[in-house]
Amino acid sequence: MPIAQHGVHPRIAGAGLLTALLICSAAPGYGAPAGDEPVTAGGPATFRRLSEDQYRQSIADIFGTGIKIPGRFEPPLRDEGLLSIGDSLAVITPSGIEQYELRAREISAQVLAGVAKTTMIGCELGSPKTFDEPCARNYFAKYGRLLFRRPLGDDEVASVVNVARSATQQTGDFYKGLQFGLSRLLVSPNFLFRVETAEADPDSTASLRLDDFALATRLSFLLWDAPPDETLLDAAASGELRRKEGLNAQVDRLIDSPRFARGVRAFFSDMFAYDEFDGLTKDQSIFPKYTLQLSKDAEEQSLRTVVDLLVTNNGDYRDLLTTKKTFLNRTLGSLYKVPVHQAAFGGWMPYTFGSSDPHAGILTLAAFLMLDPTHEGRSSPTIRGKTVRELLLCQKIPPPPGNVDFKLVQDTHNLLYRTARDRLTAHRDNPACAGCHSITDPIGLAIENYDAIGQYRTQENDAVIDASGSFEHKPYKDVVALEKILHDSPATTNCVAKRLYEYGVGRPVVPAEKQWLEYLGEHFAADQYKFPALMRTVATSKAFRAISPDTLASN
Amino acid sequence: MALLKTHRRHFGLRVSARGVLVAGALSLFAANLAFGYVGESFLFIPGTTGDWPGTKYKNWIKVDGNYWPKGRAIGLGGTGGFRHPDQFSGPVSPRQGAGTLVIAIDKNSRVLPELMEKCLSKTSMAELTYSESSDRARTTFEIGARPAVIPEYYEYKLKDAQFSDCPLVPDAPQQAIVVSFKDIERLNYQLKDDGIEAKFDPPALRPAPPGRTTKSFVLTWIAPAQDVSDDQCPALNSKPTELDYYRYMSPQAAEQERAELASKGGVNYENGQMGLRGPGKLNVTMAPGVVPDPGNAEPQTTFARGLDLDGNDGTGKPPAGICKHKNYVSADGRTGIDNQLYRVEGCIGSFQGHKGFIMQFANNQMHDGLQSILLQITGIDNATNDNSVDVALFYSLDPMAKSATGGQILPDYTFRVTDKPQYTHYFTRLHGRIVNGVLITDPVKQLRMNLGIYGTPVHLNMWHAGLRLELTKDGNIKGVLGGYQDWRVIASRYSSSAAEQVHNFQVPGLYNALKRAADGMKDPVTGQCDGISSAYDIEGIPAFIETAPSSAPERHDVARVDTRGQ
Repeated sequence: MPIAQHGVHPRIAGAGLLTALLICSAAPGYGAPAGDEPVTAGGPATFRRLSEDQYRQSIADIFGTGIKIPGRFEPPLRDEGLLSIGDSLAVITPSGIEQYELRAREISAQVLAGVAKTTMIGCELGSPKTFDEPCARNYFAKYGRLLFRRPLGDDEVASVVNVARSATQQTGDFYKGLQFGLSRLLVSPNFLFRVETAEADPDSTASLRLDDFALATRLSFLLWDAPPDETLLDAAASGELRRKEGLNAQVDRLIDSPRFARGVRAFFSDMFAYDEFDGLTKDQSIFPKYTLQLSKDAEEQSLRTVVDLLVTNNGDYRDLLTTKKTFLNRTLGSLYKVPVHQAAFGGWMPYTFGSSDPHAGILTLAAFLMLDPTHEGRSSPTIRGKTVRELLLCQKIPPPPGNVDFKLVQDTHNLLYRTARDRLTAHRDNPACAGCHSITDPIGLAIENYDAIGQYRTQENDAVIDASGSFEHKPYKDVVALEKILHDSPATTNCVAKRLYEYGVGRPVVPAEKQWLEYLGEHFAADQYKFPALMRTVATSKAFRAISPDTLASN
Repeated sequence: MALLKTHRRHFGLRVSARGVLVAGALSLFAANLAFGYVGESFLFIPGTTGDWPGTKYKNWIKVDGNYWPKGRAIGLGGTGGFRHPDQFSGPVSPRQGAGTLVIAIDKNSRVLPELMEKCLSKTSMAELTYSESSDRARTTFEIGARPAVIPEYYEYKLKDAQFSDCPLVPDAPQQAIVVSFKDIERLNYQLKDDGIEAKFDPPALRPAPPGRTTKSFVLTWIAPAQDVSDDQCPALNSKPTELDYYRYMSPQAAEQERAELASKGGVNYENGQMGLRGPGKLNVTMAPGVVPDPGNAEPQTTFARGLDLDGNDGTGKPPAGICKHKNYVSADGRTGIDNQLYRVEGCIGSFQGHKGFIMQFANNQMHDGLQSILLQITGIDNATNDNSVDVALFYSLDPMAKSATGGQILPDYTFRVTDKPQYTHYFTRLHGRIVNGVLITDPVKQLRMNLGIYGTPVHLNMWHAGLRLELTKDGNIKGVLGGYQDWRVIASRYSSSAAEQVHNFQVPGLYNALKRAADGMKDPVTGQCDGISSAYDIEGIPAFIETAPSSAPERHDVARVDTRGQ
């Protein structure tokens, strides 16, 4: 699925790196106690389109996993580094609404089909041929709450009941009538978008706050990447989320659930831009081991590694850059040239790279190494360096000028410039190019021992690869050494904290939140960089619920 | 080599779409064909002293080939379904009642005049005893060894018998005699005809040397080393024609049959009809010696791949146990290369190494997941020169992985060694050395391999066998496996006109060529060479082997010879 790229915001272009460095360079120090949460006015409420995954998960959670969901989904939109932010800008095109309508009819037909439909409606019908208003009301109230993630208003119930009545009269079938009503709910913006409404905050005159159901939705999609379940909706309805103890209890429940791993996977898939695996191709004449399945396996390996470290073992986030523990299947064993055991056949086996093995940290795993959709036949140190800067360190790199000549860089068979380092060094002779390349290339060149699909190599065109460089004046001899430097850099932890907050609220941070971000970073350090703790801090914070008063004016 | 249309999964067999198409297009075997028996069997006629000098069946009459015209059909494909190759099938003879047995007697046999006299006078014989090897009577698609409960030789009483026909064919090396009997009694086999599960020996491996470096490979190609260039075979062998079919018929009979077959497309190869071109409609694909040798084209070359099996370059007197034969030169200049099978099969299109479609088909089936053959070299101290390493051959049912285009088998995959007896029976370990990057193993008395149901053959049995493999710079292996095969087993693989049609050769030509070319394993009783030198091209890419079987202590009875083929 192609990604619709959002242009660089004017306020970031040219000074993006400096701004990002300022935001990300706060160094609270390990274990420094976090103070009270600073007050923040928050940002605007959002109106986020459900992603394809979230749509599918919603249907599965509400109606069961056996429902087939047809049709194409609109392409996602990445903005300010996250799809979650892009969801706030995404619209539904006319052809998109046609697909949603198709899906709505197909889903409704499956939901209200077969013998299950009689138990599903939750009432005894006099006759299936006549309209039963109380039954219809109960049905739409129940499922409408789950779909809209809040109770339906009286007028909303009345409207959908009328649709069902009319359809029943025309078809002579009550279940058909319900199908039409359910279809109506499934194409409603209240289902397809996460509509956030704000209310006055009794604890603050500077900001509004999300209402309880909007907060429940934010919590659920942050922690589970799924709509709120009945328990969370009930907590919202009872006002439990307004009390610190109630909110903490629900957040803890969500984090303790096995479904939390899904939420973590969804966040890192977004942060690491794994949507770019869709349609990723490599030149198979150069890389015969590359297949679509290999790319899927690489993605899965990376996410399993993340979940294992951060959730299962509640490890230090920074260790993602240095860990030798991962998971392999048979295909990946071939890519890494290591033997695998029984569990890897048809499944996954835990694997720890040996001390002399050159793999350690996510920058040496295939997912990161192959995820460059712009180069099918070679690795690109510039792109890899840019990816590290932007995705792991939250440092914006401006796009290249429009008149750059890439011929030298792309000529991988040039005997004068055998390695990527040689080619880029020549390319950087152009002063217009040197500025950005000096930021990206040293990082990317450290990763040149891994080719475009992640296979380890020591030479390129019979020339030994030099992976040395320096980062923030600290020298390294290869990417494993670089990862250790990144491990200790405040930019690494500050970036993930910032990204998580933006992911949760669905918008970029605003300048007024600078102090709050510092607080978040301090808390993260005090929690020894445990990711579930970071999630908890964000979810239970006042900032997560705060809505700036501008929202009403702009809406 | 039969191609099989099968829809059943059998110990890892998966038929690719391409394989089904090829098999369907070729449709080699109908459901009801028996196989020819090539090799000695024995007949006892009370009052007649035979010519067999051996200990067993001494003074019985030696029979050089036989078939049971109305014997039990062995379904191998077509609509007959696929039979289990891990069965040791029972006799194909009738279990009871009247029938016939066609025997072929060498024209040099001193007993032949007496037999012919009985035939011409239609002498009735109250009782004859006939004995045939149970190993030779199996189809060549079966694997495993003979279980102890099955006798080494099936013995029968043929009751109220007569030699009902003995057509004279000048220039044929053997005389056909049709033995008619009114009843048959099996003397030492009462089990079901389909047989019982073959015996699979547990792996008998010499312990692998501990530590040091191991290199493992999966074989991406194994097929007879019979590549030829076009100029080496100016004339390829060809299948029989209708002229051959009508040769021994009277003009009237031929005219009548031509008329009958005109509406059916002529003589049918696939259902075996073309094989009935001997005198009196005898089946020459099952008794190939009863018609004159039509000849066999051979490659015109002095070069071949293989090993020097006999330590002789072909000059002077051959060593003990060896029959004089043509020696070849290898591409790298080594003399004394023994590969007589290349001489026999090199100008048969289907068998021409990498070009031969049956070789390609067999290997493609392995590439598509039928089975994977693994080769492991252990005990390596120096990959260029090492005077002691071990080489083991294992099997896996894990499929090879292919590139997305399908054109390449991918290296570095892990394969699990199977514990199925049908494969562990074939595990083997050889000892060798590495000299300038070339692995050379010491010969072993017997080496057997399971090349899979489409293999060439399914069950490869080699004597005095060894490997010579280059460890290439890109980490692969490439070389040959060489040794002697029993030529009679090879001859009995192609007992059908369907095979003649597909592979373009004639069974009598192949039979006589194999017999002439046999150059090893001289039988002390007959003085004939029973073995023919052969070589297989082997190519492999790096792989990992998971849970190689633990090294069992060396079993001395690993030298117990698989009796089939002897």
